[in-house]
Amino acid sequence: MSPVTDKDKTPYSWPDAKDRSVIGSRVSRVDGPSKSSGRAKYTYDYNPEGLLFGLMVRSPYAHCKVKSVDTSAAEKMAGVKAVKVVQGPGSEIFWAGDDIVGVAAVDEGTAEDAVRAIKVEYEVLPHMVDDWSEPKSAQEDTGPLSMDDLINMFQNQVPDEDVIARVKRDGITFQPAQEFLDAAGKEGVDKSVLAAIRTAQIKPAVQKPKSPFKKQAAKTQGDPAAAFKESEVVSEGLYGVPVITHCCLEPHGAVAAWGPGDHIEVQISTQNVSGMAGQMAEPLGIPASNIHMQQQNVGGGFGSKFSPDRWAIVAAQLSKQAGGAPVKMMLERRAELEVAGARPSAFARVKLGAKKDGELLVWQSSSWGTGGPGGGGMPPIPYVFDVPNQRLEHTSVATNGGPARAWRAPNHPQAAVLTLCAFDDMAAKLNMDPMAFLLKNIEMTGPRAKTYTEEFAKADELMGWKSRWHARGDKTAGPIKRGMGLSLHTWGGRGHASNCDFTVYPDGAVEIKMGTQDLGTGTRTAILMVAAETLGIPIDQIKLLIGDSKYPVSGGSGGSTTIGGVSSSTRRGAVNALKQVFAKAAPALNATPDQLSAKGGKVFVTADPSRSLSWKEACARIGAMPITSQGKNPNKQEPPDLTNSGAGGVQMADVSVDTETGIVTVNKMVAVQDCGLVINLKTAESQCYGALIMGISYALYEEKVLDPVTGRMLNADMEHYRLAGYGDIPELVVHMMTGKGYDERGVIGLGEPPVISPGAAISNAVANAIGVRVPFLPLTPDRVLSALHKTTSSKGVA
Amino acid sequence: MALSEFQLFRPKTIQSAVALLAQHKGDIQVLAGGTDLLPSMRQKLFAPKYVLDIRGVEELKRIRVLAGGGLEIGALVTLSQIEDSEFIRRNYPVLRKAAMTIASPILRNMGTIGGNICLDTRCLWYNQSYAWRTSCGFCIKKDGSLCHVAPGGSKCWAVFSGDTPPALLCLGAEIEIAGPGGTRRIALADLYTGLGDTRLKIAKDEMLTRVFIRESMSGYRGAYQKLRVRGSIDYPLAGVAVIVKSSGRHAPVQDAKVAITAVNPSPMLVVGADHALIGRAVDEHIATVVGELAARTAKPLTTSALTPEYRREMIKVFAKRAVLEAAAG
Repeated sequence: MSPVTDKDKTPYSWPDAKDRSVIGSRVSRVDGPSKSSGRAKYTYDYNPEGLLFGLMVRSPYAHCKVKSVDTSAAEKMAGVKAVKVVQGPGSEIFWAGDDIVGVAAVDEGTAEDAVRAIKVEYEVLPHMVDDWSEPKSAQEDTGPLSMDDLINMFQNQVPDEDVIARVKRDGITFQPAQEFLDAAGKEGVDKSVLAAIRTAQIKPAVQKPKSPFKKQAAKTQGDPAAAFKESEVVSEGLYGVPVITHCCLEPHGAVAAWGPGDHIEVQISTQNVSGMAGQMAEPLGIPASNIHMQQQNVGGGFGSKFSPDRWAIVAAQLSKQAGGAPVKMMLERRAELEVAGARPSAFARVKLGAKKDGELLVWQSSSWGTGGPGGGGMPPIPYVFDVPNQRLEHTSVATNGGPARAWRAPNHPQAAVLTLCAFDDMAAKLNMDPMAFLLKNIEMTGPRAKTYTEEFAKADELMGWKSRWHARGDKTAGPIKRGMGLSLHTWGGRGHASNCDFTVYPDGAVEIKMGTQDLGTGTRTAILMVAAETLGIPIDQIKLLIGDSKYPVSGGSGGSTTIGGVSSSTRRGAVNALKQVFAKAAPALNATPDQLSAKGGKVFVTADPSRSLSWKEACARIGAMPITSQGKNPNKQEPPDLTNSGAGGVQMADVSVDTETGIVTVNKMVAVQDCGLVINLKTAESQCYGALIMGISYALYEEKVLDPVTGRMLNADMEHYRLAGYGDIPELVVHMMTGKGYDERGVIGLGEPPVISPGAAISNAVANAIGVRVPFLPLTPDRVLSALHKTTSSKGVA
Repeated sequence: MALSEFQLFRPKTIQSAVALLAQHKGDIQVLAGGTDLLPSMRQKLFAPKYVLDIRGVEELKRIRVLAGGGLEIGALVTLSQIEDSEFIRRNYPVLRKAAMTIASPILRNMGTIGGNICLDTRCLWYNQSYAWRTSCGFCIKKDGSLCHVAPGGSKCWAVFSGDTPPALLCLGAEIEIAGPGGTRRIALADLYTGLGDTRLKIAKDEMLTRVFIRESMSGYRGAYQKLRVRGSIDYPLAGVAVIVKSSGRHAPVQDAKVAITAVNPSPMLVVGADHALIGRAVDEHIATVVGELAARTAKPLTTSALTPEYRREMIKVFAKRAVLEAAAG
């Protein structure tokens, strides 16, 4: 996107730096006091009169079929008001903890008793929860090849030598007709392959057992084989990131009340206030207009709270059964961790080829990972760098580990680990500083190359990278080794569709309504800052109403789209309101509306600020009826485009590793981040601080541990599912890139990008400290030690 | 998860507490700080009809320096009180160092020394909700007959995870147990059964009331080294307490004790550690030998995070470090 130039300027354009007094400054979040004092109400705090407690019978098995459900005993229990079979006899269940029967009772204890009184018979089916083993011996990779198998291999660009080897080893199941061979030849299949097929042994087809492995994607770019030949240095490595959970501190759930006339009131913990009713209408069989959704605060979503989920729908159904009494159905901690969202895993063997001077020539990867029962896609590798020659293949692994959900920057943290750790290993093999290696190849990042270069320079300054960096393996004496690592990232972040209503009253009061939500990121504060800047009045003179499906529709808070969306619609709505105020006030100032400005609580003649009215006086000219206006994003009729796409940043980590215990301590992290025009510098920095802390958690601690025997999650509590505590958070340095070259790009989202790099940066820092790569996150002490001992023993053998 | 219904007693004296224990034997649980019992009750690991809240027994909330020397610590003394006691810091530093590693400041304000000594053993397959345990067929420790940690075995390996008991074992602490027939005093080392399920040699109508440390144990230098994944809150995955008496840093050791926790169903003194240390000046070599002895005592299994092999290795490392730290004073 080209930046906005002066000639594109309209009244809607973001004001220039010299004209800004609010936007870009540090403003404390307006809901800070209510949150820190405990007055802020979350869905969990909503306890209306006559509330019933909702609870689910959950599947004890990772894979099973429901044979029978007997709810009769529970239904007869005193205090049990409703029982609803969610997945009845015949239903196949694909993960432990899935919803089977919902109950609503007068209190938690009674609901738990009811759940225990419900008898469900299951037929237990075989499960599979291993996603980390390399899918080498996938079922589909054995036995004679059918015509479909071969076509699949051609389409997935499996290397010729591999196809030939398979054909020779396993044979084929059909007589290869000349038409088939001709057609294949026309599609570009090599003659050597066709020859192998022609002479292949023909074997009877075997019934292959259903495989959890599926070749998902393959891609070839350039000429990888030639590039490897040209390479002077080749580096190979294994890297991976396990499934982690969202672990929202406020669990998923809702309070639903089925009122008269089939009108439903729902309080819900969500990232998507405006989009909820539409998703609930069909399963509940009532018009979406009958569903009223509210939420004032949410205790974390991270991508997992866009849908009402089965439990919110069941809450509404239970309320109906119970004669309209409100039903609270919020997940217990265990269920929150087991079923309410998991980030897909990603593992890869990566092989790179480069010239001695560091020029990267070729990327080859064989990756795999799971997104739960449905398998999963390939992360965007190689990440950020468009390596000229590439060969990629990806196998998706279907497991019974629960369904995946978007997790803050879906697929990017995984891609960063697979890519930047492989690059770091290559730099080590070249005996190059990894920053120099990345900068050497920075043109492969495309249009962002200049920005990354500036960001590396800033990060270097804040970390003292160049002066402190040492080659791989800290050579100082003693068991504690210190090292540094880095990573970079990219993200879109264009603002979503957003609408708002402004009302300006004759007494000067201003009210904004918008169907958005504040995930704790400071959305409320940002909206108020834009409105205050535009109207020239203080934030506390503006009333902002959000979190209600009756307000103008605004997008869900995902993909880092909120700030761009809400700031753009607010700016347009405020400019439109101001135009009307100017029209009413102009005669009193003996001027035309276009000659007026608003700033510092005054409406004045731009050319002669002494001719002015206070905001209150100006609004007194409105007349008896208030002014209303609308703001909308996107809106081609009210240019320019106020939001943009393409945020990125660079991060560096400094760690200490105790080589006797394997314990990793992060000493310092630096995040340098750009996101176009920053509305609130304080909350933007807070986003980065939070992302770094979340990043330290998933780099060092987080993993959804599934027991292969029972298929159950072993660490579905906060004792064993560890998040970083205060003691684990080091010095964090955040720098936002702002000013010329950044501000004029418009507003770009920031929620996701800064959480992408910490895993790779910390893993690289550990490798730099101890001299070897710990292949998989999280970098737990036993893994670190085992990686260290492997080198010691292999050295011993050599 | 809700607590099941129970009747709460709040006695003010040891006598009335013990009388209630005797009256409701087997159906009653003692509640002190509640940091261990209440989460377990929510998971239905305990579903007592009666709960005996002893926090009204004021005489058990004191740390008292005894006339003839030595120290008496009431069972209700909080871990924060231990941490804040100047007398303990000066005379029994190993105890303070161990107490300071427990959980978080807020939990230490609630948790008591008695509770830490009587802490229930823990296991990945035990500290789970009722529904979860149902789906795995329960286990030896609670409601079942199989062990997921040592399949085919009949012994419960749930691990003892208290931090202060190894320190108290080093100090040769004794405990007072009150029962219907009055009080008895035993060595702390004799409290534990060595089994994850039976845990404590304490009758159903008895309760722990006081801890005693002899005056002669004062002046020892001490160290406590704890393995945990995170910098805050975690239970130990291995812990080593060491005390050393010598006239100076490089002087020969006159007396020493080493104890380990979180790698067996009980905290344990490391047999032979004193023998290895006494009469010699501590150096890397001796510290390593003590580490080997400690690892021989440790029997970690897959009851918690990280692999058993790793945790056994860590007992070596942490014992060595604790010995060196204690010797350095």
